[in-house]
Amino acid sequence: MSANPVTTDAPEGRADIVRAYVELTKPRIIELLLTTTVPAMILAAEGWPGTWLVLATLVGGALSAGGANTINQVVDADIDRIMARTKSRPLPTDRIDSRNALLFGAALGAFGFVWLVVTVNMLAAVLTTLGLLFYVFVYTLYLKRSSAQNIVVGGAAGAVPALVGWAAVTGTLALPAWIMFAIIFFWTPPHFWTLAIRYHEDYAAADVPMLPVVVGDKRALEHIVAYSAVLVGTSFLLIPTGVVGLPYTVAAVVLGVGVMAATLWLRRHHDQAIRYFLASNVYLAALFAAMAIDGLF
Amino acid sequence: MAGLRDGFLVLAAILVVVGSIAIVALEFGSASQRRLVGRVRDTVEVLLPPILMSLLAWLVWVEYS
Repeated sequence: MSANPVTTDAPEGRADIVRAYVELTKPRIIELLLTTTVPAMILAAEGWPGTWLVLATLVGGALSAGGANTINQVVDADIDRIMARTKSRPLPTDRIDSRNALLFGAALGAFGFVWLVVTVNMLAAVLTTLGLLFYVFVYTLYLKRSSAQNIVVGGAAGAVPALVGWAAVTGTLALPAWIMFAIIFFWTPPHFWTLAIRYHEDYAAADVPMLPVVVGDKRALEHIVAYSAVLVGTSFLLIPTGVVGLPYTVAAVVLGVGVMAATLWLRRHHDQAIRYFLASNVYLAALFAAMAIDGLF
Repeated sequence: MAGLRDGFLVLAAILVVVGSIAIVALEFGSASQRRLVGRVRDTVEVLLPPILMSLLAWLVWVEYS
């Protein structure tokens, strides 16, 4: 497969190099991952778990997620060169050497593990590193280019921070932690399928078998409805466990009705997929914010 | 609040089970369109998430109903 020509943009100063390395870690994705960690910690602690523990867990999670995102970009550099959405990333534009990027990613992951072992606990460290390894080996290397289920199974990596948050506080895992994991897991496919609908041609050109590319946008939207139903059901599953109360219940119902309405609306407005993609970020952040509020007050 | 929790448990179980059945039906319904890398692998990839989710819902049901 030949790559489209890409403009190289070699960094000139130290600041450019630092900026390129930061970009490699995909800070926006790290932000979203950490959004789910803190509420899990609050619910596990039945209140504020302590500022130092929260900061230590977030730093470890950010290091590991940054490492995973960096290694992912090294592996996917050939795809990123082809897709319009990603061709300005640091590796396709030759701002960073891929060997250096790989070392950087591995170092971040290793440091994240050691940091969590020393400052939090072994279970949180192991879960975080398993998330990184799953993202790199199962999603990026095994599933992404070969299966229409890539983002379904691979989405488990993005759901790990909820387990890490719970484990950081309790040193164990319990059913509510797995429910939070499942919420993120079933939120992930509709979220990324709407992105794949928006950038359908990009993914098709790069030969990445995202569901909308493989079965068509219309059929993919039916899958999104089914996954959204399971997502809403999973969000309700947290209520009977008793770790949340009325604020979360109200939020889950309102947001659940909203997400189902948006999903059905999207079936008639394919061209608005990116709006659904952005709104689904708000859905997840709001749901987990409601958990945090419920746990704190 | 106990009655409310039971109600949400039932509603959650219904949504999870119905949604999971729909997912499996849709996935296998579009099997001919997908590039199957292997029948066993495809079956595992399609069935695993709904089965694990149904198992989680059942565990919550047993523990909290």
